[in-house]
Amino acid sequence: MRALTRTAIALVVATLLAACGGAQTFGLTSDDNNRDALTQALGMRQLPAKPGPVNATGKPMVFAVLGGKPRRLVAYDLAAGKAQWTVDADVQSRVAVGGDFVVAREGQQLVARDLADGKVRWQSPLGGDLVGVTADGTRAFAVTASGSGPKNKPVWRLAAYDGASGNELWSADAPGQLGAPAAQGGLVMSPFLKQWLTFLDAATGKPITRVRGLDEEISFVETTSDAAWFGSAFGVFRVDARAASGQRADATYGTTTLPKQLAKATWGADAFDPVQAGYSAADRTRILWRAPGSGGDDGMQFQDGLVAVHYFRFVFGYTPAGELRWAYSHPRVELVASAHLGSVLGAVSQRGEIVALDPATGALRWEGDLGVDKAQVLGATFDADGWQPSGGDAVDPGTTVAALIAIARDRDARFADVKELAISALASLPGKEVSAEIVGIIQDERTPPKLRDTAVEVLISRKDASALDVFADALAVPYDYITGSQPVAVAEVSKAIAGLAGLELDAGARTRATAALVALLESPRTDNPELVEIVKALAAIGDGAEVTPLRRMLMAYRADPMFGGDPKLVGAVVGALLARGGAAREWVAYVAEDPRTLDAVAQVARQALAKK
Amino acid sequence: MSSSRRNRSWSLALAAGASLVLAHPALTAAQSAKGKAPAKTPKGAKAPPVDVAAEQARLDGADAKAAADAAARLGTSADPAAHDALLDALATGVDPDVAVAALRAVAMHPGKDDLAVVGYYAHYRDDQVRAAAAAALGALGGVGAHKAVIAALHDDSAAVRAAAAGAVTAGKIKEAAEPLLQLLAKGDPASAKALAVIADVELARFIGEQLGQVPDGLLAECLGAILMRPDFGNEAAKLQVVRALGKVAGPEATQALADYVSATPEKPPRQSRREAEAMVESRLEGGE
Repeated sequence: MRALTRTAIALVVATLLAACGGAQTFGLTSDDNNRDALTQALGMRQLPAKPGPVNATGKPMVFAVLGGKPRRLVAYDLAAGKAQWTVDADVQSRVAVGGDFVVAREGQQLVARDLADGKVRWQSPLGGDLVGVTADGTRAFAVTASGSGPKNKPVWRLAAYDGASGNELWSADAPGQLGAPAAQGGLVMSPFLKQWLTFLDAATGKPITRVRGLDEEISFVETTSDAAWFGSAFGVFRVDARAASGQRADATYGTTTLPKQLAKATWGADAFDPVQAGYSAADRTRILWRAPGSGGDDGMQFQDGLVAVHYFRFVFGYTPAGELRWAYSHPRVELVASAHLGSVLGAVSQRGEIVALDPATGALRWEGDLGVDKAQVLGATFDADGWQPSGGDAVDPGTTVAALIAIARDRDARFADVKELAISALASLPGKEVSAEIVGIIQDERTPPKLRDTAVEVLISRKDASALDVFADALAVPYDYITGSQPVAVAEVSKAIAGLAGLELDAGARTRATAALVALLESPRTDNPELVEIVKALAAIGDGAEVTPLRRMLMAYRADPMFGGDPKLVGAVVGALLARGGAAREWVAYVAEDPRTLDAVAQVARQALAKK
Repeated sequence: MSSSRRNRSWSLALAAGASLVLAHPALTAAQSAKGKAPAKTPKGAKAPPVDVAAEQARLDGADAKAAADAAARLGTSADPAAHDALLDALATGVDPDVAVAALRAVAMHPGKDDLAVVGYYAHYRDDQVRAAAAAALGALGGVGAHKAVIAALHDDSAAVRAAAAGAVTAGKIKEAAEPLLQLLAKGDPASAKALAVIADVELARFIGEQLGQVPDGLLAECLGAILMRPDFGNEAAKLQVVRALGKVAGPEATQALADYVSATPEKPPRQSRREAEAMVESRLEGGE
């Protein structure tokens, strides 16, 4: 845990000790991290026999909030592929799903709507700022913060409401900060002061036990139909008996190493951030996971050995070690909500497109549309655990390469880091087509310089001998004033070719590449820095065919100041010739001695001869 | 390896040609410097003989100015040894100013085996050297040289394109029509006269149809130059060009028509002249 957080908690705890004291639901003294008590609490929990939606109809649903005046709430039946209802609703929080109702903050009220038709079932004044809302089959639970404590000190309150009537069933005040709660099968789990996760009986509000985070703060708690999870920015704990340890090593704990470009992604919505009580930009950078419970002590095993990282328009599949396994690029608009449903990854875009991705491969398995016309989706809640999209087969099997290329070539200037990540990820993916795409990115004049540099590095590092014909094609574009054609990224592609030295090359591709390099070597439009790379490339793959053109160049330009004034270029030519030895060496010796040779050229030649 | 300038292995593809020593007035270094063509021998005048060995020594020296001067002198000599010396110098590399002089000199007595050396300089990095090579290629003639001239029309340098267009003009290289038309459309000033020289009746008709696709001034210049060619087409073809010119706006077209009227005798009467005259009068009355 960060030092600052520890200090802050210590200060709050000290304040609370001075002000409160005594036993209460959310107190400072309690029987923390009691494995037996936690086991007992979890024993009370009623979980479905198999993963499925929480709502009583069993239909896989997604509830989306649309922007505009007024806002609208859409209940979309994923199985039917159509909206079940749409109502005007000033939704200001996340939507929580109960058995036959949904509940959210609308204006300053907590409002429950009938799941069947979206009509208001009940509403209740919140009496403070909503921190979070959740529901189980028959009850709604809300945490609010207000300044109504003694001496107007802030007080946090967790209240339970009857899902049918809206009557308040019980409530519990807390003198310290409560986070957004989660309810599941008769339990309510409430983060407290970022250090504890308090377990309460959902029916009575009676505290049962609590877990104290010893290694990390507890900044979120959430449920899936088969499990509950809590954690921090660093990782996730499964709510099981082992969680009572409060420590990573002894709990069912999972984390992953993500590249720095995805550092914004979090494991869950920050339960203590009032902004994240509603749908926010934070929902667009989320780590998604599922982990079947093993019942043993072997730690967290992520489903498919992967986590998914939703990052704005993109979704990536990563191993816990941080190896990229797949990528998905959503066209044009951002995904504003996402969830791991076990069977698929569900996501909703800003324009109302719904996609289901295969969590193991990233393939697009289903797509639908909320039908929001021009409205923007602000956020959405999935209640669709275990949903198997109709069809089963991938709509678009896609490829990781295509997705990464799409990301890298995306015109959206906001995602420079992700594009760099995509390019870097391509480095380890085999295939000539990958190299061809990287060449395309390098040649695209709209590619930002930094990204281009990364692409060049990746292309060189790949040492892709199979792509030599691709490189040849890239270079075999003539300079032509009339047509306006010219080769692009000559130096970069030449560097990639130079990297192929010593590798087995296709003879035809070698011939074509050599011819293209020679044409550029002898083109007046090729500048000196490009010539240096061309010479190196010729030396790397020429297999002797480079000697004649390099000799011609050395002879023709040895008295030309434009050539002689560039020791790098002269050195490259001389070096390449000397590397071949034999007659080529004699030409260099001639140039070094002949009086018509510029001094600068002769000097480089003499030095090179002395070294060899 | 010997550095002898007579070592044939240095040259790319030289062949000894029949030799004939021609007298020629001496050229100054200033005259042979880059950008200036060597002076030609006045008709009937007898040029002094060239000391090939001495000039070759200067050509092979480290003094670029003296070497350029020597190249120009050697160009005046029809002695195959002089020609060989020039080709050897080019083949083994010289200062760009010397290369310009040597290429011009080579072009004065072109040989059938010059293409390999001159062709290489058509890609040289210095614009003036490439321009000199393009001009020399025009003088060489033959399919290979013509291809190289046409390639030079695609050069990025206006000076090189102008030299290539000049070579097309000198060699009447009809295969150059397409790139010249493209250059005309791009407004390249060198293209108009070259196209006019190689245009037959059909090409002239096509050029006339480029109104709106080609800058008016260039189009007028090209059509006007076609009209002025004594070898161009019959009266009907000329009339076609006059009428095409009549559609072109601007003073260049008016001038081209006026030039045609001036250059064409009144008798026998020709409709092309009559129409051109009427167009000129109409334009002048209209204030053009």
